[in-house]
Amino acid sequence: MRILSRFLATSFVAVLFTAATAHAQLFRAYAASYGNDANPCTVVAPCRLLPAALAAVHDGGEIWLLDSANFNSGAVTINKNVSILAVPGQVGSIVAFNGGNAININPGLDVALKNVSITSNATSPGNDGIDMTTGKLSIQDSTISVPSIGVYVVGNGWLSMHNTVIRDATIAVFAKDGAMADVSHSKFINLQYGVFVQGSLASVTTYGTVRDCEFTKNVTAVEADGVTVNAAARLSVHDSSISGGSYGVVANSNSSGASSTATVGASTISGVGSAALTQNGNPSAVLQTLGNNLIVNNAANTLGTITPVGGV
Amino acid sequence: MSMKPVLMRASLLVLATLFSLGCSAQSFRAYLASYGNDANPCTVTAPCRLLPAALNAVADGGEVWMLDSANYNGGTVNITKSVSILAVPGQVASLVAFAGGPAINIATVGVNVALRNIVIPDNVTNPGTYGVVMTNGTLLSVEDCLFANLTRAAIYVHDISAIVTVKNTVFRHLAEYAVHAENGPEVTIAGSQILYTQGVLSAGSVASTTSVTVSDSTIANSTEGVYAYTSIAGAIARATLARSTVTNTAYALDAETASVGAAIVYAANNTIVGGRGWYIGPGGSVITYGDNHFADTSGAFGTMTPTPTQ
Repeated sequence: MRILSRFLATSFVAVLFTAATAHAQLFRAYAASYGNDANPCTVVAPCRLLPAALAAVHDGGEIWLLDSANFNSGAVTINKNVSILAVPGQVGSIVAFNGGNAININPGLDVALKNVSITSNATSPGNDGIDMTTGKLSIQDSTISVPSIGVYVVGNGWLSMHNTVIRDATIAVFAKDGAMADVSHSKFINLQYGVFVQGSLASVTTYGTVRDCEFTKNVTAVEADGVTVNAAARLSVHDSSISGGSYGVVANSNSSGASSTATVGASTISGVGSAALTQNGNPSAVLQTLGNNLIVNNAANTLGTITPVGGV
Repeated sequence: MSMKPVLMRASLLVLATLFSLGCSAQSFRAYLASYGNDANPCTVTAPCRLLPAALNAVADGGEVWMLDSANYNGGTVNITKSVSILAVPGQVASLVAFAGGPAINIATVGVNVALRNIVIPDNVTNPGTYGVVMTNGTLLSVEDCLFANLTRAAIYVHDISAIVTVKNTVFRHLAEYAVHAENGPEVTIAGSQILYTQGVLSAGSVASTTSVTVSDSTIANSTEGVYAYTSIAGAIARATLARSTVTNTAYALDAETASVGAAIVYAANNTIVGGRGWYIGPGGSVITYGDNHFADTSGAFGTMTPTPTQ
């Protein structure tokens, strides 16, 4: 009986240990303004900051931010597949400060952000909002305002952004070196560049797709930019509105053999201070129009060669 | 002791029991909350905790309101009556697929089900399968919902002629299709985002017509955009894509059969970037209204059939 008792006791401890281990890998972790990072990140005992929740959640799990507060005290590194959302009626803040980014995403991950506000700390400014290299990122219902780049997607990174506002940054969405940025139903305000698609890696095409978006008072609303020989940048803009600022849709090529194509259809461009549609650089920069745009009240409606194309 | 008082007491007991059951089973609206308890009557002042308890409490055709943000199931939820299930604005409710099953199963003839403001993910610590499986019923309406990280399709509707409408909903990071419709249903998807999935499938495996329409939506980084397929003689699979954007998707418009039946894709006023563009296999056809824009697509297979807009 003594041996059996020891066996049972050992088994019980093992079960407890297993349960504790499983507990540390929650399907869903919670954070709240009233939380504590010593808590297990459950709904009844939430954590306080995002890094603690990231440590508690299982790969592929979720983090729910339960009330309105800031949830970081330094750059947040996301090192697992995860969905992070603030519950409706609240907003989760993640701040970039002290020269760092708000969020850095490790390569190859599936990450989703919903209903978050990413800003810079005015007393100790940060840099970018979100940086990612490869992986699949989804951003929904969020706002981003940082000094440098709102969302920076490099390499084989795929971005899907919907119903999001990016304002007061240098570049809102910067896709380069083979990235694919798909942006819909979003607003871009007071930026140097709204959506900037750059081909800077030879033999690689970088894509940007914009649909149902509004661009207001940006120096350049959208640009396809080829900068390296045999690199390509492709940008499509549909059902969107561009007003104010200096340039609307730009296809630019900085060197011979660096390809850039921007196509615009069913869109409105007005009140632009320089040119609504701009083709700049050698012939490998192409600006296509579907012939169904409303382009009025600009300093110049076109600059360079505009190529009309039809639908299929 | 005479029989009269005994009979009277028995009658009162039966009446009391019936009244009690009647009240409990006939609530117009049942309530759930994270602070609820399934022993409660599912009222607003004494809510239940999990969805099965609320479904037992609500009348056929009634509503279930989820009062705060939490998860509301402990296994596959079988919906056997007509009901509208929603999380109140400002909150979000989740129903999780886990333990090898779907989050929701609808298999009752004639039921009308509505889901609103609900998150349906997979439990990665104990994975499930589908988000919603519908093998019977009349109507399914999905509004303002999120399906994520599921190991199978988000919505799988088959073997019925049900009407399914999806509006303002996000499907992302799915191992299979956002919506898989086969053998008879008619599905419409509007104003939605389909990201990192296998796309949308309309399939005919019996001699009936299956239709899927996607409009004002985004499909990105997926295997298919809209895909119509059948392998059965007499079956027709239809898929329509309108006013939408398809980006970085291997086959934006895909129609093919196993050389029997018919698979038809209709495309109007879309922007399609990257990928193959369209693929027309045996027995398939893609009807274009001439106002689609294809950018940097390559390897398109087959010839689309132009048709004028009306």
